[in-house]
Amino acid sequence: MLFSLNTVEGGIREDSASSAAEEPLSFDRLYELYATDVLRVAYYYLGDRQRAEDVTQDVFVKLIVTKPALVPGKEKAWLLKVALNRCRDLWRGAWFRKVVLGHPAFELFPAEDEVGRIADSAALAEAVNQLPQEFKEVVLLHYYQGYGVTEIAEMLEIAEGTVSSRLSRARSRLQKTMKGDNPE
Amino acid sequence: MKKIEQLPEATEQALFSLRADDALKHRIFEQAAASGTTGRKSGFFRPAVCLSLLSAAMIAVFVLLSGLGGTGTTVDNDIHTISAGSYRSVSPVHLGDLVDGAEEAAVEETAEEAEEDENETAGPEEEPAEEEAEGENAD
Repeated sequence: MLFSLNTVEGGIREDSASSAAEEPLSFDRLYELYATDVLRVAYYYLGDRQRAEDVTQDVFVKLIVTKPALVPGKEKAWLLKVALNRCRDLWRGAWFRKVVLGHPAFELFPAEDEVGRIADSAALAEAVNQLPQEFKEVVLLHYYQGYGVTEIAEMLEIAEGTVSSRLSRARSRLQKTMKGDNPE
Repeated sequence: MKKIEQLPEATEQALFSLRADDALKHRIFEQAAASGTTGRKSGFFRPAVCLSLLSAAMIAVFVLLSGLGGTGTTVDNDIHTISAGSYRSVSPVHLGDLVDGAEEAAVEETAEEAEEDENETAGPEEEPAEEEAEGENAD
């Protein structure tokens, strides 16, 4: 299954997977490259594995059904944008407020041979998960997925200044959380 | 303690086994296939079904209303007629019992009854006058 691609208009960092050839990526290739990233971002956002898998499923089903004209190099950005929108919808949903907010534990899924050696990584991951949603989005896109301020502003449809401000405040909160202070 | 810049590495360690696998991919294909077919169905059939139901409902309402006000139904309306000077009302005539021509007959019958009533009412007053006339003739 191939997806039609438009001409690159510039301004967005190209993903390494598709920038060289600029050929349509098959669904299998897109899934192989980006599905795990989408799943983990959704998991960071929602803190619930089943829901994160549902979001990932919805994103790729939308990719199949709507057949969007993906710009080469922006495939991952499109997938993450759709995923974050879906996460927001779920987060606002009544089910999520009632069921998940009562169980805020962030479960970890380490490799079996590293269970005892990931304390620092676990602390950082949990601290990111505890951030408010608007901070979590920009932190995940910037520090986890490597997008710049301009790209994040375009993906989230907010001003670049807002992205910078949120990143700064998120860093401050994370530092306090990692030191054991209550950020509130 | 890890810094935020090390989030990709930390995530890889903390969420190592959280991966999009073939089972999830299979579910995606299944849902895409299902939503593709149901989407087409809903897009085409839903308006048709709605229109059919609406039409049926409108026809049912029309039939019901026209049936209530129509000529084919017998309505049990009573007609009470009271003739002038009569001391009792005439027995009611049921429209539902009327057939062709019976209505006129019923009206005539009612008029005759009314005349009889008048005669009965006026009868006792006329007798003394007749007696007086007979007396005058005898004289």
